[in-house]
Amino acid sequence: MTDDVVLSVSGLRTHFFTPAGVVKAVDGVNLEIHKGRTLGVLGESGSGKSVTALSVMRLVADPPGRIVDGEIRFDGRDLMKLSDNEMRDVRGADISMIFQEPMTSLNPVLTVGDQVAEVFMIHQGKSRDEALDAAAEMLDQVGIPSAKSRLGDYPHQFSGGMRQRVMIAMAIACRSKLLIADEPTTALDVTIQAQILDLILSLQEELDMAVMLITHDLGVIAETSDEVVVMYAGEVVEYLQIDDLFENAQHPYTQGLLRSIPRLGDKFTKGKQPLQEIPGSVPNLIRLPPGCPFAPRCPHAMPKCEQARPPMFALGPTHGSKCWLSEKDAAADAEPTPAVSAGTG
Amino acid sequence: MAVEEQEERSPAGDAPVLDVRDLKMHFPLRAGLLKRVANYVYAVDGVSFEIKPGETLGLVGESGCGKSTVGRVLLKLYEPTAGEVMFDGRNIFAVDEAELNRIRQRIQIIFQDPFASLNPRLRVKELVGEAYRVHTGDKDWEKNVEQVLTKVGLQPEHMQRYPHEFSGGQRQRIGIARALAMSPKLIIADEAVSALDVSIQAQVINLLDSLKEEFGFSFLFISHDLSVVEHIADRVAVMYLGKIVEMASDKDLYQTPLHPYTEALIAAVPRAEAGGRARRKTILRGDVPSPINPPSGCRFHTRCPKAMDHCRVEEPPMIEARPDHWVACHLHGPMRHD
Repeated sequence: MTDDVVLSVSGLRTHFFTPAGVVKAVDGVNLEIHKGRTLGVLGESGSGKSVTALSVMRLVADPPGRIVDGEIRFDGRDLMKLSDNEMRDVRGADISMIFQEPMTSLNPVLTVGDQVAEVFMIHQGKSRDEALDAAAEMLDQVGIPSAKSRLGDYPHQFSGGMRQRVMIAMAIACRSKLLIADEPTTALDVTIQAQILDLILSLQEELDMAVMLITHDLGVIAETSDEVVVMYAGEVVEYLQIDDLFENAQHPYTQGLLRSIPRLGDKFTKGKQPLQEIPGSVPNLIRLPPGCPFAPRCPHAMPKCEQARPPMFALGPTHGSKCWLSEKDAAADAEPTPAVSAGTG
Repeated sequence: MAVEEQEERSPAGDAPVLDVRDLKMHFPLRAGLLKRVANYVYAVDGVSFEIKPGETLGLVGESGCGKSTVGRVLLKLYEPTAGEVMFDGRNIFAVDEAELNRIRQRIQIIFQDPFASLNPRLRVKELVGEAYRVHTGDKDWEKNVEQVLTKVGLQPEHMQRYPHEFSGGQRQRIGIARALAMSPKLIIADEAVSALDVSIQAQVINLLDSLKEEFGFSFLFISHDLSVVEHIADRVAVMYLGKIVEMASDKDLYQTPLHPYTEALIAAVPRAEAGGRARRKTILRGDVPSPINPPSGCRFHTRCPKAMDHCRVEEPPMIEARPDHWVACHLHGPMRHD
């Protein structure tokens, strides 16, 4: 399990230094992604999931952002130690990324063919003609009909779903080992979303690629992921296997998310009931409370939760929860617990 | 709240609040030096439905199907190409200015983006209270603002603040308060919860549900999210390329859909449950065709897994295939009354 780790992130802290104060967008994130598997990163806006991905790509705008601490190991190398030039070679060739809005990630004044071909010219030193041939092949592979004849089209001539296919073609062009997909289907209609998710999964299988899929949508997580990390206020608050997510989630935030969504059919099988809300809203990342960041919204909050931030308690080899409630169930070799001053009785 | 002088309920009791008949909205596309009309976008192309007092109709469909245009025509933001919209028994396109003003107070809309739909230079007091003050001339209008703010879960002291001081969820509450201030008979919600985070979405859905219960307004809930619509609606209409293809009670539509498009839409919703990864997700191939040159015959035939030769030529009429279950598909003949 450990030798096929493609990406391992530990203790990642990415902060933004703004006039209003330091925004701790990512504050101590650990995660691992294995070859051929999908890690779902679940979180709401402001949870730090996109900044985590940008940090891995070292694409955080500096200033105002900076990776202030942490280690990002990819395929045995520490990405934090690479020069800008070395990092440029990693992007696109070894790690590639697709974004939510394909229109803003494609250059509107270049033809689709040239944009896909560029990947081959830069990373594989192909000539323009060779690269265009390869581009046609890629576009064909991601399901663009009569791909060759569309090389000369511009992005605006493609539909949203087709543009996302172009992005995916560019992302897999160099058979990268890791694909980071940041809300890849959020802007798409539900029938098109289904097509794109199927495409990502079948390419993953074919190329034995690791995928980091970032989304706020529990349904998308369920249909794509093997492992899941749940993020809240810049931290991973729970990590677990996909089946555990729906049957054995331990963190009150994860449980709250699962209960708050309307599910097809529930109204008719269980009768109409109000959705279970998570009260309040996400905390301000500049002024995080000293204790657990979820405590102000948590139905189980104890005095201790407001005073000390819980560490990650290991609940098994593949399951951990950053919640004081998990302390009693935690394996003995869990992370060292910081001193707790009071309130535990 | 102005609900003090509760609108007299329509005497017929069950008479629809809103009755839309064969509504068409074609937008001209101009081209060339003389800006001649070269073609039309058939955004809404013959849509009929009604909403009864206190009823919630969900209007679902993918982007470009015309669902938002329907909402806008109902507010008379566009002059429709054809059709009638009867509100409280009067055609909103055939009334005089004064009557139209009266009708407009009774139809309110909540938009998707609470950032774009609130003027950043106005305080909450004005955002929520202005329309009410202008229309009623009530000197005590601030009292009304206070009351609606409390109803939507905000505090009276929020009145003095500006929109940027609020989170997305709170801003949507302001938008709801603004609609509620006019004690409307009909509220149109256009993707009202789509931009909100999951945990906030549940709060706003519950709020809308409880307000509906308390004030009894009719509700047109336009959304692309089938799970949310199922939760909130009593009846649901599915749109595809400018037409309603199926309309039925919530339960009938979701549990026994008749139109292949409805079936596909429901099947494509990702399920938040274990074992999803193995599920084959692609139900429909291809994209939605352009509303500029919609396909001949049944508009769905280019993507329909059950399309027959007949479907390419003849447009299926909307028929009542089962009691109160309407569908426009050649697979379903008219209901037999024997």
